[in-house]
Amino acid sequence: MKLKNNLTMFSTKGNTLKKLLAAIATAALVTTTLVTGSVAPASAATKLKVAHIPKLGTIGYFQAADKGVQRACKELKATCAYKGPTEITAAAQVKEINAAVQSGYNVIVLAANDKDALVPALSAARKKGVTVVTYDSDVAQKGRSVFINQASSQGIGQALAASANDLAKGEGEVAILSTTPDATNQNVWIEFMNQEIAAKYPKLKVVATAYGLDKPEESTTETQGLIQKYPNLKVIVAPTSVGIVAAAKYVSGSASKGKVFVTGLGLPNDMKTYIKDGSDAQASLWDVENFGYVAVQVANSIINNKQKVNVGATVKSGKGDKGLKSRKVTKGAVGNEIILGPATVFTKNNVDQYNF
Amino acid sequence: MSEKNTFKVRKSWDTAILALLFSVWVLASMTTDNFLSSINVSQIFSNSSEILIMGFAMVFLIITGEIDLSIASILALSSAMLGYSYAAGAPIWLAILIAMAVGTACGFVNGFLVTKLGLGSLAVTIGALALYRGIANGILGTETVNEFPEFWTTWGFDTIGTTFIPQTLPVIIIFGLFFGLLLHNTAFGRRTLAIGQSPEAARFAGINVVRHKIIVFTFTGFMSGVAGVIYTFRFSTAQADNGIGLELLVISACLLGGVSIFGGIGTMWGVVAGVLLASSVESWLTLQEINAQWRTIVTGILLLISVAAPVMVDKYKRARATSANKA
Amino acid sequence: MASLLKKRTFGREASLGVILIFCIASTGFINPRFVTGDGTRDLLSATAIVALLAIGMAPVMIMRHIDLSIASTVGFSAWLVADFCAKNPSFTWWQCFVIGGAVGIAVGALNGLLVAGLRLPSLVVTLGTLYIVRGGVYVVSNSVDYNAQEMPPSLLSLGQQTFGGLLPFPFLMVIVLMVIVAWYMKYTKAGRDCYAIGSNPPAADLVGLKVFRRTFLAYIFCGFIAGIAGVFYLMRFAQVDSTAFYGQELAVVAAAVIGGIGLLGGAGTAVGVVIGALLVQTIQGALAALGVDAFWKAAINGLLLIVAIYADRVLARRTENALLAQRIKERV
Repeated sequence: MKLKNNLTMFSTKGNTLKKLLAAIATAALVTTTLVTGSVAPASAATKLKVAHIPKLGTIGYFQAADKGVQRACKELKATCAYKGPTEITAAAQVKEINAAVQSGYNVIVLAANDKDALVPALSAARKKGVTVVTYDSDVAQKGRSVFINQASSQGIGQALAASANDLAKGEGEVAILSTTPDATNQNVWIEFMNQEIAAKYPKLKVVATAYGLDKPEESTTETQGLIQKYPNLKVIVAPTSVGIVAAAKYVSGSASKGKVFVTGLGLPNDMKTYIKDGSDAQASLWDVENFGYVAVQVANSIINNKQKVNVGATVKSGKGDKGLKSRKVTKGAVGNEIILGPATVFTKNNVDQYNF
Repeated sequence: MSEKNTFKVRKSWDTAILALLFSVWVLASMTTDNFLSSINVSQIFSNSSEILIMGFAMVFLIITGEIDLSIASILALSSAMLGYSYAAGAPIWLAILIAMAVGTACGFVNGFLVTKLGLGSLAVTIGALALYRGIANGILGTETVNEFPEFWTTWGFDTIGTTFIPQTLPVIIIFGLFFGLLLHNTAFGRRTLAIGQSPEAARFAGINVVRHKIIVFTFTGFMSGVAGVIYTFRFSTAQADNGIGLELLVISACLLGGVSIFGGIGTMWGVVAGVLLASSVESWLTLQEINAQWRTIVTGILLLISVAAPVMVDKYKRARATSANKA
Repeated sequence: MASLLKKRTFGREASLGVILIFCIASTGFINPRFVTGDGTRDLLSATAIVALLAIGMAPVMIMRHIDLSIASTVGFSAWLVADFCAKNPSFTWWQCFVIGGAVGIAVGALNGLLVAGLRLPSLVVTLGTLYIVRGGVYVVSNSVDYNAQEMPPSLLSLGQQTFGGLLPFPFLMVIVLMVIVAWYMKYTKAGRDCYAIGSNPPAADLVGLKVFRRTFLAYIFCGFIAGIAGVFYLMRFAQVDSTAFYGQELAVVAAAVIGGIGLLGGAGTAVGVVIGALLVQTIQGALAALGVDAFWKAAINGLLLIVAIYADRVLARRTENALLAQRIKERV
C-alpha cells in the first residue's frame, strides 16, 4: 500500500517534470521533425501509464484488444491496466475515467459506450493533461485527441453487403440482426450496407431489422422470429459479435441449415464451428489485437514525439504494427480519425489461419 | 418478545451503519492519497444522486411492505420523454415538467395495479419494468437526444463555483429533508410505519391503506422521474437504456440502511448512510485499483452483513443474558 | 377436503392453460410457421431453461422464500463447466452435469445456511449472493470466454436431440423433473410440509415441522437445478462469458408467479410454473414471429405480462368465490 502511494506521488512529480521538459522539447522539435521518423531521446520520454477502458470488460472481443494494448506497453516499457466495467453503460465508464485520472494515469484508451455522456468527464481529464485516444466507438471531438476507427464505416457496410450477396447467390431476402436500437456503430454500418445493397445488388431485398440486445437469449428468439416471419429468407446479417454467434448456432441446429445463411461481424474462433459445419456461415472482422496496439502507439507519439493528430498529419506507429511504420490521420464522421485497416472476411477456406 | 428485541437491534443498526460509514472514510483516507480530495468527495455524491433520490421514496414503499422494481425503467422513460419533447421543440422547462409528470403517472399506474387490482407488487412491477423501458424504446427508436441547453448540462455535471459541492446536491438535500420530515415527523409517516407493522391493524385503526399505498407508489414514480431528469443532464443524453439495473442498487442501499424487507421498520438517515456507504466503498476500491469484478462481490458481502449483523448481535446478547441468568 | 384441494389446483392450472392455448392458437392462426416446422420445437427449447429454474424455485417459493441468485448460479456453472471442458478435451456430457450440479449445490448450501440456519430474510440474502456469485464469475473467469470449439461435441449434440421432431431433449428433462416434483410435493409428507410451512411459518415451527431441514434442502435443490440449467445454457447457446444469463432471475420469478406460486407461499404446483414459463416465452416468441415493430416490442411484452397476471388473478378469484360458495353450501 505504502509503496503504491509513493509511486503515485512519483508519477505526479514526473508530470511536472514533463511539463518543463516539454517546453524545452517543443523548441527542439521544430528542427528534429524535419528529420523524419526521429524519436525523442529515451531519457526525456514520459513514462506512459495507460488505462484501457473497453465498453465491457468481460467479452472476448475487448480481451483480444487488450492483448494488443499489453504488447504495445511492453514495447514502450509502459505500465497498463485493463479497467473493464462489468456493465455496458456510460455511467460505469465515467467512474472508471474519474478514478483513472485520480490514480495518475496519463493515457486513457477508450471504447465509448456513449458518444456524449462521457465527454464532460473526458474533457476534465484532458484538462489535467491526460491524453485520450478512443477506438472502436467514438465520442464527440471535444472528448478525445484522436479516434482509431476499425475500418471506414462505408467499407464495413460494403463488406457486409458483399458477403450477403455472396451467400444469397445474388438474389433473395436479407434480414438484419443488430444489438440495441440506439447502438451508434451498428446503425451507421447498417445504413451504409442498405445504401450499398440498393445501389449495387438490386435483387437483394432487406426485409427487416431485429434487435437482439447483444444477449444470446434475445438474439436467438429474434433469429427464430425472423425465420418464422419470412419463409423465403436467405441471409441474416448480424453486425455484432454476440448476435452472429447466436444466429449461427440456431441455424446450424434447425431445419433452415443450408437454406438460411448467417454473416456479419464476428471473431473467427467463435465462428469457426459454424463456418465449417455445413451451415456455410461467414464472418468478417478487423485485426482486433492490433487495434489496441495502434491506440497505445498513437498515444505515445502524441505525448513523447509531440506529433500532431489533425486531419492530414502522419503519426508514427510502433514496430509491431503489422508492417506499417506510420499512420495517416483522415477526416471521419466526427472528426480526425485513423483507420486501422480493412476487415478480413472469414470463410471455410481461410478461417483456420486465424486464432483470436 | 423476540420480535421486540430484534426491533431494538434493527434500530441500532442504523447507528452502526453510520459508524461503519465513518470508519470506511477514515480507513480510505488513510490508505489512499486522494479519497477525501474535493474531487473524489464530489464524485461520491454525484455518482449516488439518482440512487439517493429514488431511495428517498423507496423507503416509504418498502416500509409499507411493497416493492417497485420498475423505478429504473421509469427513470429511462422520463429521460426519454425529456429528450423527445425537447427535441420536438418544447421549451426546456416544459420538457422537464413533462418528464416528471410522466414519472408520477407511471408510479400511479403501479399503485393502481397493486392496490385496486390486487396484483402482487413484485410480479406486476417486473411487468411494468419491461413496459416502461419498452415505451422509452418505442418513443426514441434509434435516436438518442443529446443537445440540451448548456445551462442544464452544466447544472447536471458541474460543482458550485470552486467548491466540491455538485450543483445538484442542494436539490437532493431539499428532497431528503422533505421526505425525512415526512417519514419521521408527520402523521403520514406514522401511518406508513403502522401499515408496515400490520396492515390489518392499520385498517382497523381507520387508515385508508389502499389510498395510502397509492400515494406512496405515486411518490416513488415522481422521484424516479426527478432522477430521470438529473440522470439526463448529468450525462447529457436521453436514451432508452439509461439507468438500466439501478433498481437492485436502490433496493440494496435501502436494505443496507436498515430498512426491513418485511416492512414496518426504516429510517431516512439510515438509507442515506446506506447509499453513501455503498458508493464510498466503491470509490475506495476503485482508487485502490481493485477491479470492478471484486466490487460486485463486496456489494454482496455488505448486503449479507447488513442482514446478518443485527441477528448475530441479537443472538449474542441473548446468549449472554441466559448465561448470566444461569450464574 | 381432498376434493376441494383437487378442484382448486385444477382450476388454477386450467385457467393458465386456457390463456396459453389462446396465445399459441391466435399466433399460429396469423402465422402458421409459429407452430409448424421448427416452430413448436423452438418454443419448447426456448422455454426449457426458464422452466427448469422455475421448477427448482417452486419449493423455495412455496415455503414463502425466494432465490434471486439463480441467474448468477447459472452463469457461474456454465462458465466453470466450459472452462473444465476446454482444459480437458476428453470430457463428455456427463462430466458436465456432475460439475454443473456440484457448483449449484455449493451455492444452494450457502443460501440454505443463511436463510434456514440463521433465519435471515431470503430476499436480502439471495440479493447478496446474486452479487457475490456473479462477482465470483467475473473474478474467476478473468474475462476469458468460450465458444463452440471448446465444448464437448457430445454435449452439443445432446442439446440438439429432438424426439418425434417436436420434443427437444432439454424440454424432455423439464417434463421429467416436473412430474417428479409434482408427485413429491403432493404425495410425500416432506412435500406437504412445504405447503404447511409456507402457509404459516410460525405455526409450522410450533407444531414441530422440520423447518430447517426442509428449507435447507429446498435451497440445495434450487441451487442444484440452477447448476444443471447452466449446462443447458451451454447446450443451447454454445457460447459463454462471465455475463451469461445476467439479470434473468426476474424472468424466472415472473414465470413462477404467473404460474400460480404466490409470493406469500403455501400455493402453486410444478405443472403451473411450467405453464407459466411457457406463457412468458410464448409472448416473446409470438411478438418476434408476428414481426411486431421492433421498437415497441419490449413495451408490448411488458403490457402482455401485466395482462396475463391480471387475467390469472381474475380467473383465480372466480374459482375462489366458487369454492367459497361450495363450502358454505356443504356447511349448510
